[in-house]
Amino acid sequence: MFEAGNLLRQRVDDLATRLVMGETDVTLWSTLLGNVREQAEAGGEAEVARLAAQAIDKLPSAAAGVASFEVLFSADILALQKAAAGESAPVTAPAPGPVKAPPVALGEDPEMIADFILESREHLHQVEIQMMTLEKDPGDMEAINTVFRGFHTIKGLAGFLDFADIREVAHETETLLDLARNQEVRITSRIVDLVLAAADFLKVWLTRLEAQLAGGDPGPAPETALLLERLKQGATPGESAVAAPATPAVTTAPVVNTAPAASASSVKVDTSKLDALVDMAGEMVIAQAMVRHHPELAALQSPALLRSLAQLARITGEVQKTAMSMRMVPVAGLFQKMNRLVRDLGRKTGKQAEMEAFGAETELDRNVVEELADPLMHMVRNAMDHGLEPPEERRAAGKDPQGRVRLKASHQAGHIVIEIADDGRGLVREKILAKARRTGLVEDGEHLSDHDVFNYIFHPGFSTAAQVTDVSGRGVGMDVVKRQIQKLRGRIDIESQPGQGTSFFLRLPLTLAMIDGLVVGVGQERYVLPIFSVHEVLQPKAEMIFTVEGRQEMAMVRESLLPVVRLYRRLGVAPCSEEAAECLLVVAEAGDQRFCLMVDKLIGKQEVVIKSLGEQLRDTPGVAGGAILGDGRVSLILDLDRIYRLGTA
Amino acid sequence: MALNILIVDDSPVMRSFIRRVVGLTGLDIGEICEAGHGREALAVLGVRWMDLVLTDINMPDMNGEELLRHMEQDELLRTVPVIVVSTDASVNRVQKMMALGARGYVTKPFAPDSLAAEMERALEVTHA
Amino acid sequence: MSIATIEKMPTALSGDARAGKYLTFVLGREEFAIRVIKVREIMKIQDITAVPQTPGYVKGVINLRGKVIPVVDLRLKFGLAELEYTPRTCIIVVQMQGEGVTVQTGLVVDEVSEVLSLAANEIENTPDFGEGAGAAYLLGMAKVKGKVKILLDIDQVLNSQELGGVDALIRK
Repeated sequence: MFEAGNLLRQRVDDLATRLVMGETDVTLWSTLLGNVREQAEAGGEAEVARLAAQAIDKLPSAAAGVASFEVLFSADILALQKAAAGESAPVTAPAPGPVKAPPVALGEDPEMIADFILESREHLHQVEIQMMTLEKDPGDMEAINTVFRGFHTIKGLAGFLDFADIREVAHETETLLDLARNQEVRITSRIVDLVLAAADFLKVWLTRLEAQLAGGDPGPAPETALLLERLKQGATPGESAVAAPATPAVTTAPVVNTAPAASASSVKVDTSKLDALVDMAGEMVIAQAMVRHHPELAALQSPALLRSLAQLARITGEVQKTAMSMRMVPVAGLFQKMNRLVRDLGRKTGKQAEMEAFGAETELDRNVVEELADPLMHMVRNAMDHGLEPPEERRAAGKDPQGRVRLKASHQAGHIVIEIADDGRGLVREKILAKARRTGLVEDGEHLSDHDVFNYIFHPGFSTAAQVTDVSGRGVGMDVVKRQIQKLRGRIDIESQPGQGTSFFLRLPLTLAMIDGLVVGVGQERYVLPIFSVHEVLQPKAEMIFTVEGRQEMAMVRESLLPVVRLYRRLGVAPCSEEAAECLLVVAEAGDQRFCLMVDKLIGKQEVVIKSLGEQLRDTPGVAGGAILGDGRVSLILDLDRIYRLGTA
Repeated sequence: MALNILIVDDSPVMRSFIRRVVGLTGLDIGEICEAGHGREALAVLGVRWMDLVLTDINMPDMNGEELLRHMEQDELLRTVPVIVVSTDASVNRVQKMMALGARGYVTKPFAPDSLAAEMERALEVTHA
Repeated sequence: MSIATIEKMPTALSGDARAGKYLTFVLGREEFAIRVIKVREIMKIQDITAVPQTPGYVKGVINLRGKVIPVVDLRLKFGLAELEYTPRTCIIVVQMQGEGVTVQTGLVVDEVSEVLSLAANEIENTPDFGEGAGAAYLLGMAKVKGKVKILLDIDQVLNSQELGGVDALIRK
């Protein structure tokens, strides 16, 4: 039914185009009009059939040259278009019929499809941002135009590629937005929901296309008919125009300014190529170091050569830095996702919330940003669900009924700090403590700082929510969040004031590709320790080391007793010496625990590129990856947290 | 003589689609230039002679209608045939664009031969 | 120093999919063969960085032009006695199709022999040793100039934990 209607519409449009273009072939007109009439009759479109018949009757006059085709048919064809488009939809761009074969086999060209996916995603990203703006300010014409254009372009491209479902949904959304543009439909929360649903639908399709391109299983197609129906109903001007504008439960501030999607001064690069470039740049730095420190070259003692080598070192360093910077992306996209989440959760839970974003332009390695999405989403969900109180409760507490969720990104000492804060009820020390006692984490009478108490929420299975809701009751706890952040070589801290809210601070490295490493030697092997978890390195005296209960070695460092881990034992290698006095102690941090790592010697401090050990060895406990050192040999980067726990477990 | 063609569309992917179809028309095509909106198109036209312009209607920063208006007002540019390439096939829209000086109109998506026919006709009108 | 040998396998006209080009190498007194198409390159033995908490046959990792790849000692993988590396010891880098990615692994072998073209009529099935472990990783055996080569499906070799049957073949 839908397809037939579309075909009819398209045939009528074809007539219209021919009329304007001055087609004067009477036989052709007769055939075309005949086709329209026949199809209209078959499809039960009586009005269209009648109009077509009426036009056919006029053909002899046209043939006789009584009047020009244009004069004779203009009114008829306009009426035909209106009738064919149906009563509900005004005359706007009708979608080309899905039964029409693709004019060119562009849809079979993977490159074209890949381009289509990339560009469509950009449009949909803009759509989300602009819809948030529109929800706040339904009169923002520029925002409406941007959203309209996004769907319009996707429709056009999908037409060429013959992706019928995509085109139809984009078309109906465009129709709806056109009405909004002409102020025939008011942008309410319901309309925003609809447009976002359409955007989600298209996103699912893009993901499916992508899977198909990669030769994988695209999974089931999302339901089209229902969405089309909803969009059409949304586009019924009478209904939504009179409907009282829903008070938006959630107001969300746009995170990013309307940036032009693509500017002439930027190019798109395949991320795998970018990763390869970063890899090779890292190798170049190492190869350069190998040349520079080559004993035969050093023996030449040529100042000119040394100058050139220094120059080479500087340039290769720059190349590497530039390559790395190409992988940096602003956190704005991530914040935008959270903005959307706050909006959706607000609608779902009936809580009023506003999201504020600061420092959205702050850049992070693309890989970190990707890995950050899940934990961030979970924390925002927690803030909405457990943190913010319902409006009544807030009012009773003398607070603004509209809660706030704040996301803030900033640079701090070579790291990125992301703050996720809410102004809700805050963590209740007593509640957490009670639960910790119940589960045996704390013994009665133990005195604990707020910091210690709050940190219990990172224990597996620890949740203080009085009720489990659909929103965050998904079996993921803060322990998982903490693990994910630690996997990113970051840390998480909490601050909370009862009744005032809770803030989480994520401290993350700028990139996952490199690490500042401390290279240490154990026997014949060299290992890289991440400097961020190293506090100091010291030469122990024999009397600093104690053995507790005959097994656990402890070292007295600055008046605290720290467990000692003999690295050679943990890694199963032969050390140079087992005498503590002949070794070095690296004071390191694993989770919240400080400990001493016993190594043979300190080799140096070096920035290294982190390499994966490959599929098979990826999950080797205690090893975070590999690094290629100046001599071209691989050295293991240690995961100190795991190294410590390997010993205590 | 080979035809120099300017494709005006805000979607880079759409431009590459059109470029592809133009290549399939079998016409003798010279240089193909691209512009993302009307203003950019005028800039290209200011420095390069184009035999034909294929333009979208809905674009940011000077849409197709405004581009046509600007070209009509320019003594030199008004001789360059413009074909409107749009998904919008309503009579009103087609009439309006033709009234503004468009020499042809094709609805997306289109096959190479319909574009070729439209291009040939638009060029004939100019030469006549 | 490295012999890059990547070739397309000729379509098996004979109908026996096992026919084609093989790289042969030595472990102890036996000669083994793996499909040439699987081989990325062959390199002399080099320093291998040990990785803790891994099975004994995983010798560690090496730097392959900027990529870190694991190295498996095929002797140990087959449960043969460990042998000190000599200048003839080689690492054969093989490439396998993992989940959406190609995985490269180095194989330590006593020495690399040659590349052979094996026709279908030169390939026989491996005898069944009755343990049922007729072993998926054994493609078959080939007799070339009176010498027996054991054909290995290297993907299967690296993916299986237990490799029964090889010692039986070797003892023979």
